[in-house]
Amino acid sequence: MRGPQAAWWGASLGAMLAYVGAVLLSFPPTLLFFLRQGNWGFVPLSGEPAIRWYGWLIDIALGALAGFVVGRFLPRRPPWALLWWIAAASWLALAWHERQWFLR
Amino acid sequence: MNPVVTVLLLILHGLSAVLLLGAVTHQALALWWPAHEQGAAWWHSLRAVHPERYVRAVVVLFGFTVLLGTIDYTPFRLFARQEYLDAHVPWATGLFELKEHAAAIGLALLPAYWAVWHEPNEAGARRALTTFLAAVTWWNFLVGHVVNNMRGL
Repeated sequence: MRGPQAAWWGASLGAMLAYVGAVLLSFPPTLLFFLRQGNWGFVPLSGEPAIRWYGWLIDIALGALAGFVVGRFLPRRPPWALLWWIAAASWLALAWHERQWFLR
Repeated sequence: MNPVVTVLLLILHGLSAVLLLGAVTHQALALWWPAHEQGAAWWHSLRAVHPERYVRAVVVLFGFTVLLGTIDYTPFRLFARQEYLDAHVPWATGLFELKEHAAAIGLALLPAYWAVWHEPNEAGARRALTTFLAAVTWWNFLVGHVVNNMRGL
């Protein structure tokens, strides 16, 4: 089915790819919030703790927007089940990425 | 941020999560085990809902819960995680990181969840995405409680 449904499908895929890419591959770039200084920036500063969550949320929104636009041009909507598998695989990959917290 | 506001937001975050938990659990139960006949038992009533009526509530509550948690994230990092969790109970930090990732994946799935409930003849996809969101909600609710019990705001 072409049209809005494919666009929503694309929005979810784009949001997931942007988030997983930002966390695991540092792409797309993530906006950082430096706690002690109260500043924002894209380049990590040594010795300065930074929050990435806010930047990741922006990445999700931009990924969803890009996916929505691209999805509108898909000839037909891919299966919804594919999104479920991508979501499950993404969460497992992210969990593996965080394993160091449980090995200390 | 004023500590009173931080705690107030945390309580609202929890209350919003409770409402979300109820909505998405009712919806998932009604999808997997719909009540076909009339019955007076509470277990029957739990499943005898119109799952399509919960879609908007789930989307709004999911977004609202994440928003409240996001506002409270800076004090959490400063006063709970940085000062205590990372050094003394790193596994709790790990659980919280997994909570963040689950919330992000759940947010990303909301457009598909919304669309699948507006497309006819997609019972399997509705089950799959609703169950995923229900699992994310339960996971985040339980982890949030555990971590907050370790070191709250």
